[in-house]
Amino acid sequence: MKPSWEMTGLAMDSMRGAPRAGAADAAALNILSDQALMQRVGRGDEPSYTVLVERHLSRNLGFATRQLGDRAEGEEVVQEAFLKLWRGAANWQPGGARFTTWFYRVVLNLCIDRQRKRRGRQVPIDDAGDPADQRQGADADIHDRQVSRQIDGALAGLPERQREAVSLCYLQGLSNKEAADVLQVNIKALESLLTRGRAALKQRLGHLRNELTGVTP
Amino acid sequence: MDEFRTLLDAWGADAARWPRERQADAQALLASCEEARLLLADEAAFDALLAALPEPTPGAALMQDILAIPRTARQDGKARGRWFSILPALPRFAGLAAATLLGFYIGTTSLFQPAQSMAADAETVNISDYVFGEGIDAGSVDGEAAE
Repeated sequence: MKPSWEMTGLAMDSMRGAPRAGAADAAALNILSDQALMQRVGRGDEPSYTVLVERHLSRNLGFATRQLGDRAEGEEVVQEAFLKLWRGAANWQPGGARFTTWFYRVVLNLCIDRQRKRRGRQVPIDDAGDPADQRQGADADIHDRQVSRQIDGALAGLPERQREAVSLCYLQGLSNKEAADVLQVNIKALESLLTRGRAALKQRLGHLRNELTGVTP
Repeated sequence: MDEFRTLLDAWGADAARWPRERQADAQALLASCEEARLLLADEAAFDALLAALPEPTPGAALMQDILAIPRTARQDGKARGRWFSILPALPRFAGLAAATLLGFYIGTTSLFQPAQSMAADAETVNISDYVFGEGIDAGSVDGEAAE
């Protein structure tokens, strides 16, 4: 059975090849898959681009911010990534990589470029990735923010590849294969990165873990 | 048990992440071993700790900038398009510019030429003054006046 989005008029338009840019309303676009939206963006359809931004901005901003340990740089990276998306959509191959994997890879490459440029400048754990401005709003509990800050600090202290692996699997929720694809490693190498990253995090967050689980060390 | 610990150390408590070939053994151990269940609970708490990390909320300004990318890119494209559109006409512009420069050069040098000849004429007049004496014209005028 075909997925529901393939049966919509929009999808039929898309298969016929030339829907008018901006013709569909946002509600109808929301049921389309990322791949279908990318095809439409490739034909210059701005509303489809908007839906992709709404779907993927927050997660990728979190990912970039954690890789770079800096919110402002994370924001610059996602802007560059969406510019690449808009410009590259016309050459998008629906049969290739999944959109999510491809886009995380774009964001990761931009992060790696920036990390290379500032290589040598170590980010101290206490200074890294202040998540205070990531959690806005009056309901943001101080304790929760402190916990988040400590986890972000511990993540920032990991070597880059381990941080990438841990972020993709445990924070971004990618499957093992997707994470391995983004990192361009095999599953065995991913397992090794996760084992080392997870062990380092446990060591750094041991007190927090005991506090939250009620276990006395 | 060591194998199970290794499994949890890498993939955490979510059985869906465990490699398929190791899942059956792990589930069998969990069914029979209390220590394995405690280990799993401990790893699950750690997974929950990581998963609870909030995603950043994109600010309105960032969202606005990102949503404006298509319009900005189109404007850039048009500006570039306008620039590229004059490229085919460039040889003609170059020819026109060369013709203008040449005309200017010729015009400039022609302006100097009459100036020099005028100066030469003026000199000739002066020489003639020397040859025929001063006031030849004036003399005639004077002569006429005298007559």
